[in-house]
Amino acid sequence: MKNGYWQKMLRVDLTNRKTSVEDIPEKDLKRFIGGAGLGAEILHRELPGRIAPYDPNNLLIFGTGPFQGPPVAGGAKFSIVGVSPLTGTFADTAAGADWGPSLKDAGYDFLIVEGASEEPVYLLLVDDHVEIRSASHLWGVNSFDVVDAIREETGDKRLSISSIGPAGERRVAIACIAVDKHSFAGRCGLGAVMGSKNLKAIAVRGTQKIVLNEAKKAGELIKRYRQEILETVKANGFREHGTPGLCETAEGLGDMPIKYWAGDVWPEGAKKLGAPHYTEVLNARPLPCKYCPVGCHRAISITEPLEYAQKGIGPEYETLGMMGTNLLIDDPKAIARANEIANKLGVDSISVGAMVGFAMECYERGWVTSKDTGGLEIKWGDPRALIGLVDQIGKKEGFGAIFADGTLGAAKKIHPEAVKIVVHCKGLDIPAHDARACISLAPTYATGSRGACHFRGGCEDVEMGGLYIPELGISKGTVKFFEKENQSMLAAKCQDFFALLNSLVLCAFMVDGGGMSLTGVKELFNAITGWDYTIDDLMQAGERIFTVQRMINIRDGYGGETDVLPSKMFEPAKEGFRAEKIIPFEELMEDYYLLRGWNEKGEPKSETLARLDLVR
Amino acid sequence: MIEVSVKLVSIFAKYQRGRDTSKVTLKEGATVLDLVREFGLPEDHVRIIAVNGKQESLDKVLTQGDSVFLFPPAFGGG
Repeated sequence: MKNGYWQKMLRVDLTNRKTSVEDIPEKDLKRFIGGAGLGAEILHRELPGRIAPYDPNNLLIFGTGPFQGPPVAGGAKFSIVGVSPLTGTFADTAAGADWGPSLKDAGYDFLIVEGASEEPVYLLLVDDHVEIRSASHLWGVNSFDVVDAIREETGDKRLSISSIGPAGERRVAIACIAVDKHSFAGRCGLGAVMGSKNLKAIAVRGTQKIVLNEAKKAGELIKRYRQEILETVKANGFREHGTPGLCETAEGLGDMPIKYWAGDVWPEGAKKLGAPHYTEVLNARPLPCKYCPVGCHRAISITEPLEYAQKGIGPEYETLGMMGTNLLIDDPKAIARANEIANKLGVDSISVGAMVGFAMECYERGWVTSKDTGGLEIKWGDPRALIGLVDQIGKKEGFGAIFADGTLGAAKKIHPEAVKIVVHCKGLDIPAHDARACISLAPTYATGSRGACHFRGGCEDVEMGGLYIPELGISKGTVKFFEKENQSMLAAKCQDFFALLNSLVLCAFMVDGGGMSLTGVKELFNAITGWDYTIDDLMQAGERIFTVQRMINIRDGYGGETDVLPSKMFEPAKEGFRAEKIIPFEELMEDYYLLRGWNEKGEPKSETLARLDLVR
Repeated sequence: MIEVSVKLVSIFAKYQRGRDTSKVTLKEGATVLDLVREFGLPEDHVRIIAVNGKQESLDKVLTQGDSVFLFPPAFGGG
């Protein structure tokens, strides 16, 4: 078959130490594309019902799509699917660096890990060679050092390695999966699932080249798109400044979290944290993933003060929000230190920042005292509190251990009123975009299949003028701030579009910032697969993928009654761009359900399932 | 003539070129687009505009004392 897929899935059973290679039917790929899409379908099929996240029967599904294999700009990405220990339902998380293309080059579209090993192990996949190797000597090693250790002991410096740090080993529910000391599958705690399987790392390399349907045409498109994206991101500042360039815009529009969502404005803080100041004081340069012309990640170099000195990976916008304005901390070097600790211990920088903000509010309210924290004062604006607490949470030690089951889990232990102030949906902490500013985020967060996520949508970037998708009728002026018109349509279309992107798998920054069009995505998809999809076909696939994820949510007990926002999202600002504005939540949700073809309980109607070819 | 203030932040900050953006003189009847051109900003990058804290468009006519925030496009929300 010349369709850009091997149609091969490697299954590793860690309980019985067995591996097998299975065929993937083309019809499954045509319906669910790959990545988070086929991953969701597999999870739905193979898990009979709700499952405890640390049950050995939980799956870790590593998925690629047709955009891995050829040197596609933005094709370094891959998706990981499983049941989240934070939410107890569907999770998909994604990362870049080198791992996705490497799995494809090894001869597989998908890797499924099931069961649990009795002893710590890591997987070594090099072309046909599949080996389960002891990792007892690597247990406890941080997520960066383990990459070097595995490359050293195998003698293979070109291995791409996904790994967990101590947080995943100790089942901290926000544990991430780190990739090549560069990128992070951050959200939803699938690193803890990997730890529960005693799986320390997966090291991959391959030499096989996938066959494309129209290789010459695909090659020309790939070359042209890479050049066009490069010119775009040089012109618009994205390459030079990366995501930190967003800070002052976001703060100015009331979108950045301030003081755990209780604050309204802080332009001085955003200016210090964001670019161009960030670029200057952290000596930041682009750090691209494989094939990428954007280089959004930041390589940083800090020499003083000594306590913050490092050469490494810099914090992104989300981290600057959740560890910065969210905590009233405006020192990017201090945040870079906390980010480094989070990366190496292996926790999601968004959720850990949220946890520290929650802890600071509890401290302010007197629900937590320095007696509880062993003397660590958790005060607003104090980088020592941030750094100290991130370290404790990542190691599951001291006061930080209370966060092992997530912010909600900690709240239940701290104070009877504490659960009410947690800012989350389905147990996933809301990231650094305020739904009170970008109201299309309201239905996006409430119905998000992995919980509150802006990047299973991207609608806030449409509202803030960064992302337009004219093929879907989404352009300048489609939505206006705080006005209901078209906001639910925007939320739903963006969810479907990003579901598609996470299945192809294509890094969203090619489109969002890089200027690649949906038409361009379609042209390349068809050149690779030969399937001649229209834009409607692709978007229907996205909607089908989102709907399967929704079906998993419903099966796991997350239906319409959990399509809610936390109470802070209904507290209006007193000043700033969103002063006195309140989200028209019920109207947005009513429009959203109607557009989705869901009933009043938030369940897809039978005619919707039939239209999407999801009738079982 | 009218006098307005303009906020140029993030990747737009370099377009200030040392000028005092708290006092910008424009002709009577000038629009936001005239202000954008005054500072040489790439017009297609100016998509979100606030005048006195309210969202407006490029053709909004400015008046004395208006406070204008020209937001750089927001991508990279991740």
